[in-house]
Amino acid sequence: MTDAELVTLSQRGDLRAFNQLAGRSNAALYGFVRRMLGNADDAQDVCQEALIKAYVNIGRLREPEKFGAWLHHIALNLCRDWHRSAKARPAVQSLETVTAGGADAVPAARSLATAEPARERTDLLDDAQRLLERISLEQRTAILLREYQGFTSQEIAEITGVPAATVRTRVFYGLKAIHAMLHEQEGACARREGARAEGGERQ
Amino acid sequence: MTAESLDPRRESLVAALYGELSAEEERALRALLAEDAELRAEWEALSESRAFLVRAAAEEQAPAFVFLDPEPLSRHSLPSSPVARAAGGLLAALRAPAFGFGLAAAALFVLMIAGLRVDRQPGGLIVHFGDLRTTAEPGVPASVVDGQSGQGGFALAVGESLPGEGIPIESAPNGNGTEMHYLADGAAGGESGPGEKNAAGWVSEVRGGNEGSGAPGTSNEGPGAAVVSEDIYLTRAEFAAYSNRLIELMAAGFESYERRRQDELHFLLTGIYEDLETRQERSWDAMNEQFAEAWIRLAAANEPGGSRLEAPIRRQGLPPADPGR
Repeated sequence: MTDAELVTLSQRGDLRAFNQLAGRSNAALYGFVRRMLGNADDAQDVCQEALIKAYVNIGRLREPEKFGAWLHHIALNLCRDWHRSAKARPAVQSLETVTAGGADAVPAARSLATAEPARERTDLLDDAQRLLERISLEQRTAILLREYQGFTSQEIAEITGVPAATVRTRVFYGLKAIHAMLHEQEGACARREGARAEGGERQ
Repeated sequence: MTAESLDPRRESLVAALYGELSAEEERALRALLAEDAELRAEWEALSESRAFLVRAAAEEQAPAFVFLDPEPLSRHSLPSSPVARAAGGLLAALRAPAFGFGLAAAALFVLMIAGLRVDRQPGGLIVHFGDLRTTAEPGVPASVVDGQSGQGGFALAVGESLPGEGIPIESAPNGNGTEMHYLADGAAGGESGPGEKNAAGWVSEVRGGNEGSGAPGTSNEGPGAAVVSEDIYLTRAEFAAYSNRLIELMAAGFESYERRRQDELHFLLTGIYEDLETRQERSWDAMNEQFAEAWIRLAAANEPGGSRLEAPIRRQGLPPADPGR
């Protein structure tokens, strides 16, 4: 059964259909929200709230085939609210982050050249998350929806409420910023390696 | 929607990166890349960033969310029956702020159907039910007229309580023996002409189509008075002033009613409370008396040769303690 058919059934009050729909969208939604917030616990809360909002308001969805985009639109608004309220509350860092030198610390030197498959996957994910958190929220939203959620520029335009050209602009500058940061890390890594080698020669 | 601008060539880079270009557009872009080194460098940067993000694609275990209670869905978005939907719609309408205005308009409409009339009289505006028999003498306030006629209603005598805003109207016979009505220029009787402001800030005006018969300066006018033709009608400003006055009177009436209701309620509750208090006091006194009496009897019974406690028990219908005695 297609998503659109499940949406139609859900609009008639079929709870099982909605659960099936939620099950299909769940992983993608959670991945998006997790990347947007950078926090697994808050991401779960936001996902739950987004699904409840979708559940309560599914009768208003006029184009059942756009359920995915609609759900992401709801989640995006909740993420924006979360970021707005995050500014008002004190920042909380995990102990791991603090010992690593803070949230703004340059990720451990892993560049395009050195990111091998053997490297621990969790570290790679953390690096990507840190880089994404250093670009603007709009750029991050556009890149996440395009790269990981597979929405087209037009669909992202509908989700975010900006023209498709603006979406492409945000993706362009976001990717360029990520590239610059990656090269910055590569340079820092090279400098550290050089300094270490120099110290070894002196000894 | 706010648009952020980007060079069309760079925009097409992004489109190509995600396969959004047609074959023809892609060929054109390739040609551009071959010519433009800067564009080519940007293309490579974007591709590298994208490759990094693809490698870092998350495969996290997402929590499962399952909805178990169908109640919210049926209650919030999918009313089960047309009656329930209609009831929901009615409740929503009742909550709307416009409902209050609609209700007021409906009440006014019902009052008009019931015969509420607002009439303009020389002395003011009269609100009444049914036909009003007008017996106004020149210069007599409409409230007096209303009182004489015995009709239900109340009058808004102009100038009685709206200093500076009222439109005093005076009447006087003209030379032909007919009654003419004049707009005074204000309570103080200023000397301003039509269209000019007097001391009270009121602009006198000539109204009606019969201006020739009583133009300013004729012998019937007082100083600064403007003639009002016998076909009296309300100007917009007058109507606004009377409406305001009517609303003020209604508000005052409601306030007075509310105050009276509060006073009556207070009086009633005070009376009930006092009555209860009195009854309680009486009960308390009676109980104390009974206790005192019982105590005395008890004390007396304990004394050698004292009386026994038969009498009270017998009064309650119980057999005496010792029938044989």
